[in-house]
Amino acid sequence: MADADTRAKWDRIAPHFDFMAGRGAEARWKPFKQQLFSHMEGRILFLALGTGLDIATFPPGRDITAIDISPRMLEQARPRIEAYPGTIRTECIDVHAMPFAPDHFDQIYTSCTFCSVPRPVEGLRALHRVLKPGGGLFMFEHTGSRYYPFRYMLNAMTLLTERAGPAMNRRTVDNVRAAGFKILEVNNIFLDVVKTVTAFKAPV
Amino acid sequence: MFAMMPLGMLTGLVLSFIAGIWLGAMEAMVPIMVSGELSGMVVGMICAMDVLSFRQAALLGAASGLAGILLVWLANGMLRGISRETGIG
Repeated sequence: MADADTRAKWDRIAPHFDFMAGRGAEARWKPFKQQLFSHMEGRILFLALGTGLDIATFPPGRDITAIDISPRMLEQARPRIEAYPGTIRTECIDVHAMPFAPDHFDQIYTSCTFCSVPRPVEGLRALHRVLKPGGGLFMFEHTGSRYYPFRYMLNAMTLLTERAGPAMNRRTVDNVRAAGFKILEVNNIFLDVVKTVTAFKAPV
Repeated sequence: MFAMMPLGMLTGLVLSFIAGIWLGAMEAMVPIMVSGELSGMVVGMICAMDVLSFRQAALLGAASGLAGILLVWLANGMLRGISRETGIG
Protein backbone atom coordinates (compact mmCIF):
# COMPACT_ATOMS: atom_id res chain seq x y z
CA MET A 1 0.00 0.00 0.00
CA ALA A 2 1.35 3.43 -0.92
CA ASP A 3 2.10 5.80 1.94
CA ALA A 4 -0.53 8.25 0.64
CA ASP A 5 -3.09 5.45 0.91
CA THR A 6 -1.95 4.71 4.47
CA ARG A 7 -2.34 8.36 5.38
CA ALA A 8 -5.81 8.52 3.81
CA LYS A 9 -6.85 5.34 5.64
CA TRP A 10 -5.85 6.67 9.07
CA ASP A 11 -7.29 10.11 8.33
CA ARG A 12 -10.60 8.40 7.60
CA ILE A 13 -10.50 6.37 10.82
CA ALA A 14 -9.32 9.26 13.07
CA PRO A 15 -12.76 10.57 14.19
CA HIS A 16 -13.89 7.05 15.21
CA PHE A 17 -10.58 5.71 16.48
CA ASP A 18 -11.17 6.35 20.18
CA PHE A 19 -14.50 4.54 20.02
CA MET A 20 -12.93 1.56 18.28
CA ALA A 21 -9.76 1.28 20.33
CA GLY A 22 -10.23 3.31 23.44
CA ARG A 23 -12.40 1.19 25.66
CA GLY A 24 -11.73 -2.42 26.45
CA ALA A 25 -8.29 -2.65 24.93
CA GLU A 26 -6.93 0.46 26.59
CA ALA A 27 -8.37 -0.46 29.99
CA ARG A 28 -6.89 -3.94 29.74
CA TRP A 29 -3.48 -2.91 28.41
CA LYS A 30 -2.92 0.24 30.48
CA PRO A 31 -0.82 -1.36 33.29
CA PHE A 32 1.46 -3.09 30.76
CA LYS A 33 1.96 0.13 28.80
CA GLN A 34 2.62 2.09 31.99
CA GLN A 35 5.27 -0.45 32.96
CA LEU A 36 6.92 -0.30 29.51
CA PHE A 37 6.81 3.48 29.22
CA SER A 38 8.17 3.91 32.76
CA HIS A 39 11.63 3.37 31.19
CA MET A 40 11.35 6.65 29.24
CA GLU A 41 14.55 8.65 29.59
CA GLY A 42 16.65 11.06 27.52
CA ARG A 43 15.73 12.02 23.97
CA ILE A 44 12.64 9.99 23.11
CA LEU A 45 10.90 9.22 19.84
CA PHE A 46 7.33 7.95 20.07
CA LEU A 47 6.11 6.41 16.86
CA ALA A 48 2.52 6.72 15.65
CA LEU A 49 0.97 8.80 18.42
CA GLY A 50 -2.49 8.44 16.88
CA THR A 51 -5.19 10.19 18.89
CA GLY A 52 -2.89 10.22 21.91
CA LEU A 53 -4.57 7.46 23.90
CA ASP A 54 -1.17 6.34 25.16
CA ILE A 55 -0.29 9.74 26.63
CA ALA A 56 -2.17 8.84 29.82
CA THR A 57 0.38 6.07 30.40
CA PHE A 58 3.50 8.25 29.90
CA PRO A 59 5.50 9.17 33.00
CA PRO A 60 5.33 12.94 33.65
CA GLY A 61 8.05 15.44 32.79
CA ARG A 62 9.53 13.73 29.73
CA ASP A 63 10.66 15.40 26.51
CA ILE A 64 9.10 13.41 23.69
CA THR A 65 9.09 13.76 19.92
CA ALA A 66 5.95 12.04 18.61
CA ILE A 67 5.27 11.35 14.96
CA ASP A 68 2.24 10.13 13.06
CA ILE A 69 1.46 9.75 9.38
CA SER A 70 -2.06 11.14 9.78
CA PRO A 71 -2.67 14.87 10.39
CA ARG A 72 -6.25 14.16 11.48
CA MET A 73 -5.02 11.74 14.13
CA LEU A 74 -2.71 14.43 15.51
CA GLU A 75 -5.58 16.93 15.51
CA GLN A 76 -7.57 14.50 17.65
CA ALA A 77 -4.56 14.09 19.95
CA ARG A 78 -4.18 17.84 20.58
CA PRO A 79 -6.16 18.07 23.90
CA ARG A 80 -4.25 15.09 25.34
CA ILE A 81 -0.90 16.58 24.25
CA GLU A 82 -1.79 19.90 25.92
CA ALA A 83 -2.82 18.13 29.12
CA TYR A 84 0.46 16.16 29.40
CA PRO A 85 2.72 17.46 32.22
CA GLY A 86 5.87 17.46 30.10
CA THR A 87 6.80 18.23 26.49
CA ILE A 88 5.41 16.43 23.45
CA ARG A 89 6.44 17.81 20.05
CA THR A 90 4.49 16.35 17.17
CA GLU A 91 5.49 15.95 13.54
CA CYS A 92 3.27 14.64 10.79
CA ILE A 93 5.69 12.37 8.97
CA ASP A 94 5.97 8.85 7.69
CA VAL A 95 8.36 6.48 9.48
CA HIS A 96 9.86 5.61 6.09
CA ALA A 97 10.87 9.23 5.52
CA MET A 98 11.95 10.58 8.90
CA PRO A 99 14.12 13.69 8.61
CA PHE A 100 16.03 13.09 11.86
CA ALA A 101 19.82 12.80 11.91
CA PRO A 102 21.36 9.34 12.38
CA ASP A 103 21.88 8.25 16.02
CA HIS A 104 19.60 11.08 17.20
CA PHE A 105 17.39 9.41 19.84
CA ASP A 106 18.24 7.64 23.09
CA GLN A 107 15.07 5.59 23.05
CA ILE A 108 12.23 4.76 20.68
CA TYR A 109 8.75 3.65 21.73
CA THR A 110 5.93 2.15 19.70
CA SER A 111 2.41 1.17 20.68
CA CYS A 112 0.36 -1.01 18.32
CA THR A 113 2.25 0.53 15.43
CA PHE A 114 3.93 -2.18 13.41
CA CYS A 115 0.60 -3.86 12.67
CA SER A 116 -0.02 -0.88 10.42
CA VAL A 117 3.31 0.22 8.94
CA PRO A 118 3.11 -0.89 5.28
CA ARG A 119 6.72 -2.08 5.01
CA PRO A 120 7.58 -3.12 8.58
CA VAL A 121 11.22 -4.18 8.16
CA GLU A 122 12.00 -1.00 6.23
CA GLY A 123 10.23 1.05 8.91
CA LEU A 124 12.23 -0.69 11.64
CA ARG A 125 15.46 -0.07 9.71
CA ALA A 126 14.54 3.62 9.65
CA LEU A 127 14.17 3.49 13.45
CA HIS A 128 17.51 1.69 13.71
CA ARG A 129 19.12 4.55 11.78
CA VAL A 130 17.89 7.32 14.09
CA LEU A 131 18.55 5.41 17.34
CA LYS A 132 21.89 5.93 19.12
CA PRO A 133 24.15 2.87 19.41
CA GLY A 134 23.22 1.16 22.66
CA GLY A 135 19.81 2.89 22.60
CA GLY A 136 16.62 0.99 23.39
CA LEU A 137 13.58 0.10 21.30
CA PHE A 138 10.49 -0.53 23.45
CA MET A 139 7.43 -1.89 21.70
CA PHE A 140 3.89 -2.75 22.76
CA GLU A 141 2.48 -4.67 19.81
CA HIS A 142 0.01 -7.29 18.72
CA THR A 143 1.33 -9.83 16.27
CA GLY A 144 0.40 -13.02 14.53
CA SER A 145 0.64 -16.31 16.42
CA ARG A 146 2.87 -19.30 15.76
CA TYR A 147 0.19 -21.72 16.93
CA TYR A 148 -2.91 -23.34 15.44
CA PRO A 149 -5.78 -22.33 15.48
CA PHE A 150 -4.77 -18.79 16.39
CA ARG A 151 -2.45 -18.35 13.41
CA TYR A 152 -5.19 -19.18 10.91
CA MET A 153 -7.77 -17.04 12.67
CA LEU A 154 -5.49 -14.04 12.73
CA ASN A 155 -4.75 -14.57 9.03
CA ALA A 156 -8.51 -14.65 8.36
CA MET A 157 -9.07 -11.52 10.47
CA THR A 158 -6.35 -9.72 8.54
CA LEU A 159 -8.25 -10.13 5.27
CA LEU A 160 -10.92 -7.85 6.76
CA THR A 161 -9.00 -5.63 9.16
CA GLU A 162 -6.25 -4.60 6.76
CA ARG A 163 -8.76 -2.73 4.61
CA ALA A 164 -9.84 -0.50 7.47
CA GLY A 165 -6.87 -0.55 9.82
CA PRO A 166 -4.20 -2.90 11.14
CA ALA A 167 -2.94 -6.32 10.05
CA MET A 168 -3.35 -9.03 12.69
CA ASN A 169 -0.71 -11.48 11.48
CA ARG A 170 2.61 -9.63 11.49
CA ARG A 171 5.78 -11.39 12.66
CA THR A 172 7.06 -8.32 14.46
CA VAL A 173 9.74 -9.94 16.61
CA ASP A 174 11.32 -11.52 13.54
CA ASN A 175 11.05 -8.16 11.76
CA VAL A 176 12.81 -6.38 14.64
CA ARG A 177 15.65 -8.86 14.38
CA ALA A 178 15.74 -8.55 10.58
CA ALA A 179 16.09 -4.77 10.90
CA GLY A 180 19.33 -5.20 12.85
CA PHE A 181 18.17 -4.84 16.48
CA LYS A 182 19.21 -7.23 19.24
CA ILE A 183 16.24 -8.60 21.16
CA LEU A 184 16.55 -8.37 24.92
CA GLU A 185 13.15 -9.53 26.06
CA VAL A 186 9.74 -10.56 24.76
CA ASN A 187 6.87 -10.51 27.26
CA ASN A 188 3.75 -12.28 26.04
CA ILE A 189 0.74 -10.58 27.61
CA PHE A 190 -2.01 -12.51 25.87
CA LEU A 191 -1.15 -15.81 24.15
CA ASP A 192 1.80 -15.06 21.89
CA VAL A 193 -0.31 -12.32 20.26
CA VAL A 194 -0.20 -9.25 22.52
CA LYS A 195 3.33 -8.60 23.73
CA THR A 196 5.99 -6.14 24.72
CA VAL A 197 9.35 -6.32 22.97
CA THR A 198 12.53 -4.77 24.32
CA ALA A 199 15.45 -4.53 21.90
CA PHE A 200 18.55 -2.40 21.44
CA LYS A 201 20.89 -1.16 18.76
CA ALA A 202 24.26 -2.78 19.20
CA PRO A 203 26.97 -0.33 20.31
CA VAL A 204 29.60 0.38 17.65
CA MET B 1 -18.46 -30.32 8.77
CA PHE B 2 -15.79 -28.53 6.77
CA ALA B 3 -18.36 -26.06 5.47
CA MET B 4 -19.62 -25.35 9.00
CA MET B 5 -16.15 -24.60 10.36
CA PRO B 6 -15.56 -21.46 8.25
CA LEU B 7 -19.20 -20.47 8.79
CA GLY B 8 -18.73 -20.65 12.56
CA MET B 9 -15.46 -18.81 12.21
CA LEU B 10 -17.08 -16.10 10.11
CA THR B 11 -19.88 -15.66 12.65
CA GLY B 12 -17.23 -15.54 15.38
CA LEU B 13 -15.28 -12.98 13.36
CA VAL B 14 -18.23 -10.60 13.08
CA LEU B 15 -19.16 -10.98 16.75
CA SER B 16 -15.54 -10.69 17.81
CA PHE B 17 -15.18 -7.23 16.30
CA ILE B 18 -18.22 -5.99 18.19
CA ALA B 19 -17.08 -7.61 21.44
CA GLY B 20 -13.48 -6.51 20.89
CA ILE B 21 -14.46 -2.86 21.11
CA TRP B 22 -16.05 -3.23 24.52
CA LEU B 23 -14.22 -6.11 26.15
CA GLY B 24 -10.58 -5.65 25.22
CA ALA B 25 -9.64 -6.23 21.58
CA MET B 26 -7.61 -9.42 21.11
CA GLU B 27 -8.54 -10.85 24.51
CA ALA B 28 -12.17 -10.85 23.37
CA MET B 29 -11.72 -11.40 19.65
CA VAL B 30 -9.58 -14.53 19.79
CA PRO B 31 -11.75 -16.55 22.23
CA ILE B 32 -14.92 -15.63 20.36
CA MET B 33 -13.41 -16.77 17.08
CA VAL B 34 -12.19 -20.05 18.59
CA SER B 35 -15.66 -20.57 20.07
CA GLY B 36 -17.27 -19.91 16.71
CA GLU B 37 -14.91 -22.27 14.93
CA LEU B 38 -15.32 -25.09 17.45
CA SER B 39 -19.12 -24.71 17.64
CA GLY B 40 -19.39 -24.69 13.86
CA MET B 41 -17.22 -27.76 13.60
CA VAL B 42 -18.96 -29.80 16.31
CA VAL B 43 -22.54 -28.90 15.35
CA GLY B 44 -21.76 -29.42 11.67
CA MET B 45 -20.19 -32.79 12.34
CA ILE B 46 -23.09 -34.06 14.48
CA CYS B 47 -25.69 -32.69 12.02
CA ALA B 48 -24.02 -34.63 9.25
CA MET B 49 -24.50 -37.87 11.22
CA ASP B 50 -27.84 -37.36 12.93
CA VAL B 51 -30.95 -35.15 12.93
CA LEU B 52 -30.76 -32.50 15.65
CA SER B 53 -33.56 -30.30 16.97
CA PHE B 54 -32.82 -26.57 17.15
CA ARG B 55 -32.55 -26.80 20.94
CA GLN B 56 -30.10 -29.68 20.80
CA ALA B 57 -27.97 -27.90 18.20
CA ALA B 58 -28.01 -24.67 20.23
CA LEU B 59 -26.97 -26.50 23.43
CA LEU B 60 -24.25 -28.39 21.61
CA GLY B 61 -23.02 -25.15 20.05
CA ALA B 62 -23.01 -23.37 23.41
CA ALA B 63 -21.12 -26.24 25.09
CA SER B 64 -18.54 -26.29 22.29
CA GLY B 65 -18.23 -22.51 22.49
CA LEU B 66 -17.50 -22.72 26.22
CA ALA B 67 -14.93 -25.42 25.50
CA GLY B 68 -13.33 -23.03 22.98
CA ILE B 69 -13.05 -20.31 25.62
CA LEU B 70 -11.52 -22.83 28.04
CA LEU B 71 -9.03 -23.86 25.36
CA VAL B 72 -7.92 -20.25 24.86
CA TRP B 73 -7.63 -19.74 28.62
CA LEU B 74 -5.42 -22.83 28.94
CA ALA B 75 -3.31 -21.82 25.92
CA ASN B 76 -2.90 -18.34 27.38
CA GLY B 77 -1.66 -19.85 30.65
CA MET B 78 0.99 -21.76 28.73
CA LEU B 79 2.12 -19.03 26.34
CA ARG B 80 2.12 -15.86 28.39
CA GLY B 81 5.20 -14.74 30.23
CA ILE B 82 8.67 -13.38 29.61
CA SER B 83 11.23 -14.93 27.31
CA ARG B 84 14.68 -13.55 26.69
CA GLU B 85 16.61 -13.77 23.43
CA THR B 86 14.08 -16.08 21.77
CA GLY B 87 12.31 -15.95 18.43
CA ILE B 88 8.64 -15.77 19.38
CA GLY B 89 6.24 -14.39 16.82
